[in-house]
Amino acid sequence: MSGILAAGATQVGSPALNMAIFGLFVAITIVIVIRASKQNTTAADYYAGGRNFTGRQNGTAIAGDYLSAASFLGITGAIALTGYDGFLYSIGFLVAWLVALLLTAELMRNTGKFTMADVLSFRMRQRPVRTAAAISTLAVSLFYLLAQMAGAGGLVSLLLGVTSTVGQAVTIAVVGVLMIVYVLVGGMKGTTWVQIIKAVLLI
Amino acid sequence: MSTTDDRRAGGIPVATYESVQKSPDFQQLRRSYRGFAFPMTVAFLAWYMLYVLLSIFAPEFMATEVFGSINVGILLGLGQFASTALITWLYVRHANRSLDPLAEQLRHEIEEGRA
Repeated sequence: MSGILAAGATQVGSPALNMAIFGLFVAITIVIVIRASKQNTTAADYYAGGRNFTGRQNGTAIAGDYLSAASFLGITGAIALTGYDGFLYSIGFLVAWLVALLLTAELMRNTGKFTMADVLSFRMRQRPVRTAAAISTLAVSLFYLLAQMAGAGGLVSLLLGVTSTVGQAVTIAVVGVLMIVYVLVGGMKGTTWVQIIKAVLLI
Repeated sequence: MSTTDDRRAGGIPVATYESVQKSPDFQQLRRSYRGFAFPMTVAFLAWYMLYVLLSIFAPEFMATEVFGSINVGILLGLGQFASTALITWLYVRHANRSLDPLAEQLRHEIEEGRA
């Protein structure tokens, strides 16, 4: 999310102005998320946006999702530092998307379930499958988020002029809590709108 | 929390699921989905592996300049972008033409049979 502010990041401008823009952006997106959450009444609303998003809206949201700190900053950095190897690495992200598209997306929707654990435990014993799904989700998210939050925290620290180690840790924690709030409050509808806004701003 | 009864969404009896599963229309839908998804998956994975393996084992070939500073490696890499876009487009076309109409029809039959 903080990636949008990265465009001209060598000149960081004044921290106060950056803080104001950052705060404004957070406030606007929070309002959108809360408004979206008011319409969430069923599980399908919360997990699947009521299945009301159009292909174009979802496509924009997925684009926003892919333009995360890890890809937006990480891939750019990898290509800048390692050249062709970074380019090769980035193609893995792209091609892997076809696995989700061809092999899982439609079948997952057809089950009428929402989370990976729901689908996996559909025909099996609930508890062990759900435990395994939760552990693998947490393990993957932890390492993915480490890179993601380091990027987001680094950017926010740079833009807001926070230099001390403790200050940076606090900034990263606050950014992390903000992201959790977006998802918990807004569900899929709120998250999709935030991703659409992010994609439009980034592009 | 889902219980075993959630599988019968909307109160459709289990027997309906079993008869639909055996019906030629459903089998046709499944064949149509798999007939597209599985060969395409094999194809794109093979094409991707070719690109990665060439990068690892044939760097001289990949470094062959085609024009200016554009070499074979860059072209094959951009080719992966092109093939991903092409496969996505083909999948959407296939779903619109063959999968969705049949799935819609099955759904109507099931829901009307229940009413």
